[in-house]
Formats: sequence, structure tokens, C-alpha cells
Amino acid sequence: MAELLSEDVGRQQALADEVGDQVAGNLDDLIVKLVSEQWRRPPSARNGMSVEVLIEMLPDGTIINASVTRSSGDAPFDNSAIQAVRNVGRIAEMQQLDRATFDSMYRQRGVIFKPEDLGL
Amino acid sequence: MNTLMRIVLLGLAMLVGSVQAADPLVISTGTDRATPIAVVPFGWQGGTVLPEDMAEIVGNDLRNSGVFEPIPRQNMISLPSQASEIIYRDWKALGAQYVLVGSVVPSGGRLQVQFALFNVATEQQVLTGSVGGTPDQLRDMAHHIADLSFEKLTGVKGAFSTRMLYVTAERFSVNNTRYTLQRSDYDGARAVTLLQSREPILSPSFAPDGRRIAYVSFEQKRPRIFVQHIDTGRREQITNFDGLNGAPAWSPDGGRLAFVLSRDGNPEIYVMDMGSRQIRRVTNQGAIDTEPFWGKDGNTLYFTSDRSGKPQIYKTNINSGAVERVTFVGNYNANPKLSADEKTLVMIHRQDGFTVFKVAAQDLQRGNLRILSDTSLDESPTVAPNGTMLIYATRQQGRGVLMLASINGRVRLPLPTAQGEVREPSWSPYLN
Repeated sequence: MAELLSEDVGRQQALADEVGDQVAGNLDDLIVKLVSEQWRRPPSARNGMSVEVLIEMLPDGTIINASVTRSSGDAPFDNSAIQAVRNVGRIAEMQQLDRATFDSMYRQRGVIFKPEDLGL
Repeated sequence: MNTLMRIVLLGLAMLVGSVQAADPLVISTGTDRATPIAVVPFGWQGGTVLPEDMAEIVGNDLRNSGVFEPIPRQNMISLPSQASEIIYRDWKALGAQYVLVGSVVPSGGRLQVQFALFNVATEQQVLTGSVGGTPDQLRDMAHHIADLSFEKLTGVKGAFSTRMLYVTAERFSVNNTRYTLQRSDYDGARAVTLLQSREPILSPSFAPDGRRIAYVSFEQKRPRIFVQHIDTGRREQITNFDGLNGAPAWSPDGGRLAFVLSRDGNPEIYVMDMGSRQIRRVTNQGAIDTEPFWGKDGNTLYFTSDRSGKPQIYKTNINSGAVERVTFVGNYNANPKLSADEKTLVMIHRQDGFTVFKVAAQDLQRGNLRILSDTSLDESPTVAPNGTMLIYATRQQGRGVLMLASINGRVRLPLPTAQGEVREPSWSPYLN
């Protein structure tokens, strides 16, 4: 009985992980899409520059902070990345995640801004 | 990620506290839209209507950079003129990222303008200031506010207080054409005639001090180079050599002038020391070498040459004489102009065939080339000192006009200029 139970729990856990992975993968894509749509690059931006930003979020999807963890060396470029995250505001879809997945993946999440689509 | 790996990672995360378990996301593209900004009509406490709409001038300046997109006035829900009147909710609803407000107050015969710029997302003031002047300086004050706002938001010095030179030609009959040399604001406003002639005027350009200009005049029926002081109108003939005397270009320190002479048979580039008036030949080649443009180091000259059969852009070190070809894409590249950071070369470019000439920009580090104009008979590109905008001459409905474009390609619009043919624009350096 105990074996059966543990097997059952194990299966449920595996199933939950799979669903969690799927949801999380989709949410990764969603964050990338929403932030990209808000990212307006300053005149100083050039392909190949990069800035790393830490996003801090509440379980309801509200973005409460965005900070530079590794600067590009160009303040307007860094600021454009911070502004892009701030302009997203709230990602309500985060609410579909279970708390453990949210805590491990999205409560704090690093984002690298590295343009490849600029004309120059 | 498999379950085992996740457990290991979670374990690791617990060990070292709240470490990020997930890989960072990568953002490699952004929006092509300009940043929405609301430039609210400035408040005015005086009686009569002001001769200039300052907020409109500021908004147009910011739009011309290609970096900002002013929100149309008719969409504005409220018209605040100071911080306490701003309702951020309204501006968020309109999608504005920034709001600029201002108010004009008469003081004596002068006007005092208070302005402030706010970030809508953070609800914080990012810039405030005040500027004063006479009623006929309203445009200067507006360009100044646009310069400060642009620099605050982009980190790049604004170039909206700069000026340009251009040449007009009005043809009255076969033997009667009036040529003028004009100086205006960079946006074409407030044009002033600096020179008038029955013979052609060509290739005007500002000295780095912004107070002298050089140009080619045919007033003696032959092309000769002149230098003129803008304030006094005093002018001086610089060259009188046989054949072509053309395409003057000031060195970055203003102490030398590069130009083209054909006295030795074919057009070659020379440099004159403006103190001693000594000239030195820089190129020596059987082909045409013309249109010199100085690099910032004061030793490099970019120029156009047809030494490979078709016009292409080259650069030479005037001390060593070493020559290097710069452009390889297309069958015609001419009229080289460098951006101030020397990362971008702007030129007239023909991809193939014979008839289509467009303004193009080449990234000098990566070599890639972008077309910047949507017209097909473009000439004489000239780049703003901050590298964000350019002006070029082209033809619209059979008439020569000037176009202003942003280097990022978002903005392209004709500049208001006098009637007749308009050509040969040349952007000033920073004047303040």
C-alpha cells in the first residue's frame, strides 16, 4: 500500500512537473514577447551590446523592481532595458503557476538584453 | 529540464539561499516604434497670442530625431502646465512614456519659460529648468528645451539649436538666374540671405567655430573659393588657380582647408594652411579625386575617386599618403560625410544601373550598408553634429528640395524652404 501510494505520488509529481515545465516555458516566451514590445533602444544602442537585468515579481504577476546586475557601460542603454521591464507593469498569467514553480523561476529572474536587430 | 536536475538545482538554491534557479531570458529584439512623449501646449499668462508655439517646436524637434513620437494634441485628456496639474493615469492611458510641460510668463519686455519633464511609469520628474529671452527668441528657447530634454532622455547631446546653409536658384529667363546662399535654423525656419549672385554658388560649409563659412562662387565666371564671416559679412577670396577650384572642407581645428584643384590637369585634393596660405598636394593620381571630408584626427581625409573605374570612397593619411578604399557595395558611392562618432559613413549610393541615387549609411566597423532615403535623385547629404539626423537635397515634382531624415530611418520629411531650386545643404557644428 505504501509502495502504491508513493508510486502514485511520484507519478502525480512527474505529471505536475511536466505541466509546470510547459506553463513555465510558455511564460518565458510571454515575458520575452512583452518586454521586447516595450524595449525602445536609445541612439547609442548597437548590435552586440548587452546589459543584464534582474526582474522581481509578486505571485500576482506585478513587477515590483528591475535593476541592473551587469551594466553595458552605456547608461542610456541600461536605462532603456529597465524602462522596458517597468512598462510591462503586470503579467497576470503568472497566477496560473503553483507557488513553488513561481518562487523558483519568477520571483527573481535574470534577463539579458542583447540587440541583434538594429540597423547599425 | 528533467526532474532529477531540478531537484539538484533546487537543493543548490536552498543551500546558497535565494539563488536564481532559472536561466536568464534573452531579449534580442525591440520595438521599432519611437518613444511616445506628450509635449503639452505651454501655459501663457500674457494677453496677446505668442508669435511661436513653443510646445509644437519642441515636439517637432524630438520627432525629427527619430527617437520620439509626440502624442497628437487632440488626444490629450488634460493640458497641465505644471507638475501639480499632471494626472499620470491620463497619460498612462494614452501610452505616453514622458510628459513635458511648460509655462511662459512675461517679465518686463522679456519672457520667462519654466519647463519640467516627467517619467510616466515612475511618476518622477526627470528634468526641470527655466530659460528667458525676448519674444523673437521663442524658437531659440524651444530648441534649447528640446536639446536639454533629448540629452536627458538619450544621453546624446541635442542638435536642435544648430543651423544649416543651403543654396537657392531662381531662374527668371535663360540668362537671368538669381542664386542665393541662405542660413537657417536646422529645420529650415528663419532663413537669412548671406550672399546673392547672378552666377552659381556651390559647396557651402561651416568652419568648426560656426562663425566662418567657405563656399565656391562663380562671380568671376570661374569657380573660386571664398571665406565669409557670418556676423560681419566680410569675405575673402582664398583661391585663384587655373581650372576647377572646388569642394572646400575645413579641418577639425579650423586651421586648414582641403579643396580640389585641377591646375595640374585633373582634379586632385590639396590642403591649405589658413595661416601661411601655403598649399600642399595630397592626392596624385590619373583619376578624379574630389569631395574631401576630414576625419576627427585632422590627418585623415575621406574623398571620392574614380581610380577603380567608378566613383568610390577612399581615405588617405595626409602625412604618409597611404590610401585605402572604404566602399565596396554598389557601382557608385560619392560625397562622403562622417558622423561625429566616426562610426557611420553617410554617402550618395547607387546600387546598380544608372539612374537611382540614394542616401545610404555604412557602419564602418561592420561594413553593412543601409539605404536611408525613399527618393531616387539624392545629393549632398550632411549629418547633424550628434549623428542622429541628416539633411539631403533631392527632387520632388521636378523641383529641388531639402529632406530631413533620422539616421535610424523612422523620419523623413521635406523641409520648408523658399521657392526655386534648393540644394547643397550643409549642417553647422554645435553653436553653444
